[in-house]
Amino acid sequence: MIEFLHTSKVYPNGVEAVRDLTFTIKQGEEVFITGPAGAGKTTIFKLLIKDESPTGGTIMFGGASLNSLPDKEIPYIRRKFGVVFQDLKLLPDRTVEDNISFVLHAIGISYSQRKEKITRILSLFGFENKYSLLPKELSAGEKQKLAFARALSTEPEVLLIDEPFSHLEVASAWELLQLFCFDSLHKRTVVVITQDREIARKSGRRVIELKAGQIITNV
Amino acid sequence: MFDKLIYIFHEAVLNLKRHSEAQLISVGSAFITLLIVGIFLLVVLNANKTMNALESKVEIVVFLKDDLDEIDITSIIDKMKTMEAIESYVFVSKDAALKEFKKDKALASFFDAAESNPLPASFKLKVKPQYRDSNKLSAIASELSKVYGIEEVKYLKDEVEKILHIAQIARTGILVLTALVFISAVFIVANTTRLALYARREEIKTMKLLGATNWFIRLPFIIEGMLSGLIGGIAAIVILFIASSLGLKEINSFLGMKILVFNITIVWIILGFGTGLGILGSSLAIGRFLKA
Repeated sequence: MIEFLHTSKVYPNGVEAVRDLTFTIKQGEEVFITGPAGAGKTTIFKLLIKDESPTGGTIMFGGASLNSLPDKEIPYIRRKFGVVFQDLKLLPDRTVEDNISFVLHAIGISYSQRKEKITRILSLFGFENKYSLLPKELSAGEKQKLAFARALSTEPEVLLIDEPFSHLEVASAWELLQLFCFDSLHKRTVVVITQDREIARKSGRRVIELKAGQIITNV
Repeated sequence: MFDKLIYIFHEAVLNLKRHSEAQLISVGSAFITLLIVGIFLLVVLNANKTMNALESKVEIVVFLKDDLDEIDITSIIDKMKTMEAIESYVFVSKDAALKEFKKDKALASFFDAAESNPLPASFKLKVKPQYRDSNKLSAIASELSKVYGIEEVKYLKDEVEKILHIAQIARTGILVLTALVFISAVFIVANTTRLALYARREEIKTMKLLGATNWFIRLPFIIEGMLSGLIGGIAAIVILFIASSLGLKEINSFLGMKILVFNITIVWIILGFGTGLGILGSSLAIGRFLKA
């Protein structure tokens, strides 16, 4: 499903973030990408959602190259990903309901389906009485839950989660991942990016470990 | 489609509320710009009115021979009616010409002493606006002078050329100033909107990363800009209306002439311009953030 083929990324300031990366993530796989700060994890995240483009090599998604993707196609590729950003990127001036509604609207879900999906996902995450609250009125844990809810609301092919343990206690974040993300039934691909190598190793999932922009373990 | 339209307008109105402080700056800038445009518009329309009045003073006088009968005069009228350039004509009989001249007391005694009326009958012709230039006037005069019964055709060539020259310079100046005012207005509104959007650049980036197309993000911002322009326009109209109601009477009495009053055309122009300005300003501003 996702293939990095000799992929490199050098930023305009000369920093080489990742070098000659080659790995494959199959559909339905649950993978942890880990490594210390500056290892290139966030760059992989950005390359996947086309927030950055590689300076060398190729990235394939669903059999098609992301490198040659025309600009107007980028939004449609991004819709295949449900993304939980490290800084969550909740829309600050929109309510809990509108944060979910926006993304559903953006991908063209009709009004009636939107209502149904919002009700279902917000109930699932325990936001029944918090539809009209703004993100600033939520606790750190609730904000992260909302980010997860938004990512899952579109029923994406790939769930991409950046540093889920930075906002919550490990146990709470792990519970979120277990309850809502790892879903062998739907064969959803899940990519979790974390600096915490111990959690990645204990997860029982495949771990790609990076150091200085290169893969040091892939097991 | 309908769902999308509702969303776009709903978002635009909500954004006006959500970012009320930034919107105040946008509406304020649209208001001040449109107020200047409105004042400029009043000046331009008045200047244009004055130019038209000046140009309408351009006339040709056709003097007739003394021995013409009614049939001859009718045939001259028929000829003038066939000429495309002639807008209107007034017949001045010999008696009417004499009466007019006698209004001047110095001339009255001279004409009283004369045995007969020496003044010829004449036609005063107004030409259509598109024929009001020196060459065309000369051609009309030449054509008329060939008509039977016409003694002489006169128009104040130098004065006409001066009037038309002044009108042309004024019109060119107005056109250049209008373009400058328009460009400045777009520039001011686009930059103010860009400043207001700068605070929302992260929100725009997030929307893109979540898979929204540029048009999905852009349209509510454009409608928002349109509403800001419209509100600014309405505010400018209210102020202009109050100012013109209070001030025009005094200005008119000071100038001793009636200048153009604030009318519905100005309202429509300001509203249209404000709306257009808002759309153009926000389109230019959002475009930069969507590219980033």
